[in-house]
Amino acid sequence: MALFLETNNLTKTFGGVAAIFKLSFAMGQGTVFSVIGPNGAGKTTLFNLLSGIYRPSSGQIHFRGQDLVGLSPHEISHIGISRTFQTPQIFFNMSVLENCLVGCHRHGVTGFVAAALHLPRAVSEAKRMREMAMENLAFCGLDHLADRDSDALPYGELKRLELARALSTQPRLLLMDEPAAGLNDSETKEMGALISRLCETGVSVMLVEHNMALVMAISHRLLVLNHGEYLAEGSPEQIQSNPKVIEAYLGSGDESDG
Amino acid sequence: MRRYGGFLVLVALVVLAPIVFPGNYFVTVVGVTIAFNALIAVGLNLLMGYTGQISLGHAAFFGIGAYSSGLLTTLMGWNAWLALLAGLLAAWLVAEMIARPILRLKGHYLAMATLGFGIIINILMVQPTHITGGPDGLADIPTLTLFGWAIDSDIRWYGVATGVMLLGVWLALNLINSRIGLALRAVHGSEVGAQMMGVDIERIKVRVFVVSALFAALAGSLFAHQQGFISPDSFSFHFSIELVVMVVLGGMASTYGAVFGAAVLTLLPETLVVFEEYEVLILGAIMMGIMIFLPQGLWVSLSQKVKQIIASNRSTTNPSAIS
Amino acid sequence: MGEVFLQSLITGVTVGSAYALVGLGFAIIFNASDVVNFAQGEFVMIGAMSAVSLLAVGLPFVVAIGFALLITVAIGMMLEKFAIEPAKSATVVSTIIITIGASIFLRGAALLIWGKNFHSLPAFSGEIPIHLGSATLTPQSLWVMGVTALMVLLVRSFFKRTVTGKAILACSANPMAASLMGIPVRRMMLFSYGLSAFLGGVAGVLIAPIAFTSYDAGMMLGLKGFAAAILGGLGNPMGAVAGGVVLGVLESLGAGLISSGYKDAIAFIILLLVLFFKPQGLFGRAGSDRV
Ligand SMILES: Nc1ncnc2c1ncn2[C@@H]1O[C@H](COP(=O)(O)OP(=O)(O)O)[C@@H](O)[C@H]1O
Ligand SMILES: [Mg+2]
Repeated sequence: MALFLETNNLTKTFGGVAAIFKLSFAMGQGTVFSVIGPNGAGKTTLFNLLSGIYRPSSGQIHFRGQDLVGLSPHEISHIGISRTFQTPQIFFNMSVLENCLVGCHRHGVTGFVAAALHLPRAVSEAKRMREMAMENLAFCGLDHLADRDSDALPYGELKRLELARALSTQPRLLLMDEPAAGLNDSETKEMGALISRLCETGVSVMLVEHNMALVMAISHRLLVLNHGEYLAEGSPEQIQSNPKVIEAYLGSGDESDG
Repeated sequence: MRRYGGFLVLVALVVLAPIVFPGNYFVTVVGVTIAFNALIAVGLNLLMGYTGQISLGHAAFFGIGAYSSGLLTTLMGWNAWLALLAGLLAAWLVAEMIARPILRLKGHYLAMATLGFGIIINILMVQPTHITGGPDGLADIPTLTLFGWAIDSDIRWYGVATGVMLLGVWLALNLINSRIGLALRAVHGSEVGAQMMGVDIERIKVRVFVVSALFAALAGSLFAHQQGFISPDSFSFHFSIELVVMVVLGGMASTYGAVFGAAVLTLLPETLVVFEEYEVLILGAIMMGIMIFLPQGLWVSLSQKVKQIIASNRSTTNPSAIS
Repeated sequence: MGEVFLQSLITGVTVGSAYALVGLGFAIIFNASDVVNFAQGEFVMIGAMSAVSLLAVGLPFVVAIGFALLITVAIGMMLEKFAIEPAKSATVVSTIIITIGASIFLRGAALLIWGKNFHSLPAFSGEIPIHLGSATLTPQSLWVMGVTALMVLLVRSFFKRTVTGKAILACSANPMAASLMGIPVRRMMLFSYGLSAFLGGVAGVLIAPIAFTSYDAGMMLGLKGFAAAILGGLGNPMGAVAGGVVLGVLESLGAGLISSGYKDAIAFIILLLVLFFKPQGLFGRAGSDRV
């Protein structure tokens, strides 16, 4: 059986400087897999590669046996990978529910003609999507805000909205870039609980996060990057006691209080 | 059915106007021009207001429709309806061809590219004088006939033009309230965000560009038959700008706003005839003023005001409704 | 064939010099404020038309031109003060509409002041052409090329050597940091608009003896200047200058080969090709968006 997600010698350079260099790792299905490393280590770049926003300079990415290199982000979304962003990419011109409805886009087939003519199948499809979006909003505790303008939402709720929206694509793998950044303690706890619950429903989560308490509490496995390169991999306990990691990252101290 | 309430109001306005003001110049003559402009503006609004892609060259598609109809009916003796279809097809092909490379551009580059495209098409109307009649234009375009019924009076044209405009508004409203409309607005909100939600942004931008081009070309064909005469001046850079102003006046991302913007901008020079030489100056002042003081557009700002007033009335008459 | 080529080249460089000055003005404003100023062409028109009027009321030639340039600079600064500054947080689309609105406004004002008639200035130093084979070069063409070259050099050393020039560059790189360092960002903005209006006015005065000027002469020149700036890579002043000359030459060669009626079409086709295949400009470097 093919591995869930696997990269092989993945490299991305910007003007000759490697942001990701010869990175090989594998992630198992149904886990919370965290990628940690100091600022500039290449974590966001890795996400951009996995989600098709950047094209690798060299190396391979395989997701459930399928080669991802060269696919565009919307194709990757159709294969079952979705993500949230370090700076939320909310559609601020839309309501909370509408944001989530865009997440349902890939489950629909209504095209320009059917939509413009308001054909019955377009109407029933819209109704189904609405239910799906509401479910995901409810999962993230946002259903009571469905009709709010998204630009009126506080930061913590924006982060959850981005999660609800990504869930609406029904991903098999969800990439989350610093979901707890900018959240207060209780919001961070909620977000952690949400991610764990999500994993229980069968969505695999790849997490980039600076809050070490959160990472150690909810991750099954961790990958440590340093200057774009593989530094270590293992369970939270193994990583916490790995001298290389302590020297490169944990030892430098103050990253964990975000 | 709340969202079609506005549409019914618009239909009522359009139907009642010629009944309340029979034979009024502003209704049956200016009204036709308003309807054509509104049709183009509603289409352009799908592209600009909702999808966030500026076009400074949409007069070109208006012109492609008009010249297709004009040339095919006068020079080749085609049936007017066939010529209209050919005009739509021509606009479709041109839009499809340029949309992909053009819509890969953003911001100033997109503005410049669409502007250049519009100017090139306009020059193609002026230069081949032996075909298009050059700057003097093309005359003697026959009027349309609908089921053996010649559309040859102001009021008949009013019926056709506003009917087509209402159809355009209805299609646009449906589109915007659909899966496709959500995706278009998502592209405006965040392109990467939309992509990650599975929206093929390149494709959907091309599609909406084509749709807006078809709206403009349809208006162009009808315009050519209604006027009986067309010249390149009607399809210049200046008209492209006026179209943008209509959308902006309407507040971008509001279909009724686009209709409103078209009405205001079409009526303005008509009501300012006394100050004819001030027309250009006033257009410029409006553009600056709106963007500086009412960046939401006149329509959206006005309707927000109205909503506020209604809301405050309600809360004073019915104290329990405070939420 | 060779002579046609030479003549086109001369015409092209002359017209291209005007595009270069307008394009340079574009680049300066774009660098300083991230605004593409669609009203740039109107500075050309205002410079030329004011000079014509001031000359007509009997001012000596040099004085008339001096005042014409002053008027243009004042209008450039007013544009910044009353249209750009109040709309600070505007989006790209809004600033495009504001500056197009400003350009239409200025055109409308020019129509009221000067009417629809065409005007021209006398050539600076006679009309006796210089013969180069069968091609001719007018003294005014030499003025256009010479003064343009001088302006370009002055602007270049202004940004390289003077404190003000460096301060403007700092504002464009990072306005927040610049203002923290005590650079008066707003004043630098005002200065940039004045400077590019000045360049536009100079272009107007230089070409008014060659091309007739009228209230609507600025539009096409402005668009060509914008095209020049894009050919050179938006925000690259010397690129804009090169882009202007390239555009002028290609356009006049194309006009010679095909038909002068298609001159403008040729310019914009070149522009579209560059935008499609090398959007960072002929001399620019590629950038990429970050997420
Ligand atoms: N689009 C880009 N262009 C140039 N350099 C980039 C780009 N994206 C990322 N980088 C560089 O790659 C390195 C890794 O960045 P990033 O992936 O954002 O780090 P992290 O998310 O781990 O903090 C940084 O040195 C950054 O400057
Ligand atoms: Mg990052």
